[in-house]
Amino acid sequence: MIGHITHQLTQLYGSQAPALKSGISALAAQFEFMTQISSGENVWISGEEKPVLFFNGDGILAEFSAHQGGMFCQRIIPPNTLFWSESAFLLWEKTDTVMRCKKASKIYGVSGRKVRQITAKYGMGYILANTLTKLDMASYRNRSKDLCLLLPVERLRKTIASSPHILSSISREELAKYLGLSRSSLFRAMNAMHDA
Amino acid sequence: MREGDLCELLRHKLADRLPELSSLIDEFCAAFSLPQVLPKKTVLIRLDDASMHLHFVLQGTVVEFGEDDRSQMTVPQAFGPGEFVFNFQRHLTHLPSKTVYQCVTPTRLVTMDQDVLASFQKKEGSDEVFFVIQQHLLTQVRAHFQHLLHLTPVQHYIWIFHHKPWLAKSLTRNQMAAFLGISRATFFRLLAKHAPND
Repeated sequence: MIGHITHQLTQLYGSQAPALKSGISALAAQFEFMTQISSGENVWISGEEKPVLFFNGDGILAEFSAHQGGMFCQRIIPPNTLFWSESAFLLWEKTDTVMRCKKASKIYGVSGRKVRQITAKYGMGYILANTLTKLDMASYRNRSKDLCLLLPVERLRKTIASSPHILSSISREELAKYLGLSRSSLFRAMNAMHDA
Repeated sequence: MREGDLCELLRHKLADRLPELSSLIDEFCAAFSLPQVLPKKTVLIRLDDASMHLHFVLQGTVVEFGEDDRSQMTVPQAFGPGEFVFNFQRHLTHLPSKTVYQCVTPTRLVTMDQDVLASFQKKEGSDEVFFVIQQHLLTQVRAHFQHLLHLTPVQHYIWIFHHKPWLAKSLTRNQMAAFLGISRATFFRLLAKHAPND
């Protein structure tokens, strides 16, 4: 587990990683086992104080945002990846989404306070926070572009290519909302993809 | 919106880091130009532009325009009072801009020159101050994504009409259709069916 975390942190620090190797190792070592989670359970719900940088073990998670009684899947967290509540970890507010387990996993994490302590101690500044924020912005801009420009079948194809787990991880209704489609449009897109 | 609001925003977000960052915040705010009013159609960021000037809108509307593979207009983002305009493509990918950022109304803004920003970013503690700007940028981008995800184009248009009337007034119907992610024909059909006051 610590190897996966170190690898991901190294990628996040990019060209500055070699100079910050000891800080990255110290940060990875601070991740603690938090919970074993089963399908249907939540890592967080809306309105919680969770300024935590998490690591997802070998399961799959999905993040949902609520609007007018509906739940919209907006992100899939694949196995062995870091994840965070943007609202809590990056925007310093309470969580405004739900992170739900779709396939049983072990969850590890380090608090934002500890991240600050380690990054200050090792002279790592706000590189991590700025990088995570950039990643999220890039992801949202790409998703917004897809929602605006791609045909339903193109959205489906692109999503399956980038998240191969998605079809077996979330229900068809959740997938339809993730893609910004009605259920009937999703089924038409799936048929069109199979026929192609 | 006043230029002083920018400093207040930074001080509010970094309240628990004051007074250590106080002089850095003052320096950052002082590095912006005096407010200037740009006429409608002024281009802030051109196609293939690699500039990294940071703009803060005080009044007016700036719109990001692009083109899709079929040469149809796209509107990835629109910026109003209290929002930052930045070369997102350059900032996020290090590549030159694939879009154009243009004032669609007379726009009053303050600007930090890219060289000033670059030299500021070399100072110790500056990445903490810049993170607050990034938080603001993320909030803008995230909100637009969630509107596209949660709302139908009609609901989105009605939301804009009620919550960002300046945007509804600033965009042409073609631009609004592109911003909502629908064709011009679909937008006109929706307008005929659902007036925003319904």
